[in-house]
Amino acid sequence: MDIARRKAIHDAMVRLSDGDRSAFDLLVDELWPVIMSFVERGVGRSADAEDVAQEVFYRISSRIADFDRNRDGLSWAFGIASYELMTQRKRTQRRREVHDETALATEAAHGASQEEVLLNRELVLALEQAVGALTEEDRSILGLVPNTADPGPANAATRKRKQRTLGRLRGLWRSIYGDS
Amino acid sequence: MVTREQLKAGGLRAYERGRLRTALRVTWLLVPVSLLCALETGAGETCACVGTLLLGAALYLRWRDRQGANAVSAGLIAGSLPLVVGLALGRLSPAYASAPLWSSLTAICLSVGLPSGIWLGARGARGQFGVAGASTATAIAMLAASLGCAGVGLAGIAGAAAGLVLGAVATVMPARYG
Repeated sequence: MDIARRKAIHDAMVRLSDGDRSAFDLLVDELWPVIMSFVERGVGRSADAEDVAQEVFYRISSRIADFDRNRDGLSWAFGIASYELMTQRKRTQRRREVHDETALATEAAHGASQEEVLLNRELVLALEQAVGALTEEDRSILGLVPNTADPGPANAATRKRKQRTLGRLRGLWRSIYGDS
Repeated sequence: MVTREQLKAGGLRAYERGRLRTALRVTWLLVPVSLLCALETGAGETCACVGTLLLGAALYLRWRDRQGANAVSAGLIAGSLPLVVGLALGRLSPAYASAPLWSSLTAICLSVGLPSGIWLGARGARGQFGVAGASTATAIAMLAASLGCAGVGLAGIAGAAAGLVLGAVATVMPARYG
């Protein structure tokens, strides 16, 4: 930052605080690039940087009427810019926190389904245990093991055997886990 | 990507809003003072009229530039003495309300307005806001004084105004052209 530019910014601010609107062109030409690079250093070279810099520039413009001419114009502008950057960072952080909370809520929802998965797995294990207590023949009748023998056409006798086997399975389930 | 013209237009809008916000601060002083004067003097319509004029002029001058803002501040300070004296006279001697234009009331108000005018003229002569600024400040001081003197009638207002003008002119003219 050369002294001439610093002085030009200060002079433009003094003129504007005095009510000389024609100094605004000078302010745009001299201050905008400085504010832009300051903001880029603060928030990084992102698409947001220009929006933040614009916000900072407008904030400075709106407060020039209160500018104290005994202060250095650029330092005063940097003071406002720093505050705006801090506010912007807080805003971003808050947005991130809200996002994190949403993610946690989603994870919690997933947790509920995992519980369901666990319950299902326990049920399957319990069923496997009950089925394991059946004879090989009974498992074959229920179609739970690959049956090499041809079962033939489903007739009344086969249906009856299947019914009896299911009854045994129910009995086994009750004996292991009770009626509940 | 914002263009230079968009930036300038947006910046100017923000600048004008800022100036207006700064100018509006005077409302916090003038509205309660006008209300107080209206209640104290009982001349509600006169106070409302003068108060509105004073507020409008103060807002415009403070918004326009720093010189106007300085003139308003100086005018309000200078006008506060005749304002307070006018209120006091109205309370202590209600008979003054019917005093003729050439009366002791006019003399009292003139003698109170005179030092305020001299003070304003001295500031103008020192170049703090120039002759134009001194004239504007005197006008503001006259309006402020009228608020307080509304209760004692036209004689009080005329006396205070004459004192302010005489004091300001008597100080500025010799310093500038003497």
